[in-house]
Amino acid sequence: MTRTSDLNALLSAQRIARESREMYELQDHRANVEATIRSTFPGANPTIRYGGSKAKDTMIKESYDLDIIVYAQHDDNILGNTLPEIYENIARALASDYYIEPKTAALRLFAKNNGQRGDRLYIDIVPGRFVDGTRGDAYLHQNDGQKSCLKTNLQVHIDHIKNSGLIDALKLGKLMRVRHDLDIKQFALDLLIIELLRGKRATSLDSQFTHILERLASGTNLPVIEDPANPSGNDLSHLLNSSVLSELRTVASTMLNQSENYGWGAAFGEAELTGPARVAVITSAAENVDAPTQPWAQR
Amino acid sequence: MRRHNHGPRDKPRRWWATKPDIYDEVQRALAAQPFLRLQERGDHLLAKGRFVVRDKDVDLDSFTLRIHFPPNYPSGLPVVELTGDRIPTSPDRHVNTDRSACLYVPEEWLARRPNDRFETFLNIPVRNFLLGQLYYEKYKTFPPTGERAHYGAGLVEAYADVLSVSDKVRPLYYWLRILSSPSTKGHWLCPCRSGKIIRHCCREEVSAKQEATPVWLARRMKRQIEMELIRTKRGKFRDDV
Repeated sequence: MTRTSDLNALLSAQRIARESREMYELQDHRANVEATIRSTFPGANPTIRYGGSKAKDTMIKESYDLDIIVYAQHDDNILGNTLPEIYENIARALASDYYIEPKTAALRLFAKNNGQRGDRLYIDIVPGRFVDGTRGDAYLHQNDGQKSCLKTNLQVHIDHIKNSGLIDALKLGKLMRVRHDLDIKQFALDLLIIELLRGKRATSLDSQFTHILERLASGTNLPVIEDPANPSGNDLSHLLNSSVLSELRTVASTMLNQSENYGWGAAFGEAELTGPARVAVITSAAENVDAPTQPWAQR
Repeated sequence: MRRHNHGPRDKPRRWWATKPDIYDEVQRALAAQPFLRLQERGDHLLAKGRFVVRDKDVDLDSFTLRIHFPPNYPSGLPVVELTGDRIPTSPDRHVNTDRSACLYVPEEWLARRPNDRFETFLNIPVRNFLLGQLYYEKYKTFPPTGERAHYGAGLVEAYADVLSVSDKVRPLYYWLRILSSPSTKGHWLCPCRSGKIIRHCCREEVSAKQEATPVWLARRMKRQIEMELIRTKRGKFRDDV
């Protein structure tokens, strides 16, 4: 196998089929969210659609969070008069079915378990309001950002990612972020990868990803990232602060080293063995540990 | 993260600045795990990334996790937080609701660990736990090396094993009361429940257990049993816990 086919094998293991259990569950929740909002606010006509990785085609099995945007029309006050009101009202409407955890601009849904937080459902609701009748730019309420209101444009973000022609490299970047528990925001990593691969769209996936890691490991002359929906208004420099860059540098160096010595599988933490050989070694190792310890369950 | 498993005494914060030898030992231990890296977060130090489960130099699999060092490390035990979704949050998988891995009954590990080196922590309880999870993924049960019962019953099992005494709550608690005391009086009732006083009964056994069990550990076990009884709203002991 070539190094590019190794990377493609990693990606194909991360594909989520349309008919998969995960997708059916997400679609069910999306339908429930939409029905709840429309029935709680009759007369309102919010735009409810997929955002995030689902809309950008960058979903991977190990991180399939679903963003659902709920934007009030610019002249519609039924969902709320102000952005904080829209945010609060949507949270209140969904609280009957879900446990809600407020994030910076989104509402994260968890299953409700006797009124308490249950399992994570991998769904974030992003409330907002369109700026005007063109249904392009929108304002989002921000809980703890530098500004209490953020201007953005979902379609511009989607187009920026989809038209980059770098979907596979972006998915690998996402896999790297998840597998190595990187602090960088996915949005910032996507923008950084697109900038790093400017002019390298036609090269192989192996060259692309090696180039990304080399640049990150060097840590110098990294491009500045800009919000494509609001380049002058949204300052993203804080998303690439020194601690984030230092972590990227460390992980990229280790991954480069591992990929050169043991291949891409090792760099992404894949198991060395597969099939019955792997099961046999796991069974023997687990049954014959030198110093057994017994796991417990704390209340 | 849970705070229950600190060691016997408080230590100054930012231990890694005041104890460079221990910090060096942690770094040396991490050299065997290339994808785990140290990160300072204010007064908190953690190791984060992927932990590779190995057997005889073969990488069997890897898991995303964070290891949080307590302020009183190394007397306090690190806490392992599972950051990936691969292992579900469930008492049956020994994962607490805050995603911390329940590697062991902490007092049992404190009593039996060969040393307080970070390398030992990685190679024994962390590796055993993840190896057990790999085994569970295949067989839907944990390996024959076993697991503790959930909650209070697991505490009682573990403490009874550590002290080699009955696994009934009342006699175990009486043992812990005796061992928590810096000095034992010979006229106290014998913990074997014979009705005799210690001086005329199991004096040697009591002395041997006192030798083997530090007072701070016995006090800690006693406190955990008391807290468990409060949590379960049992005002009195029952021998069927």
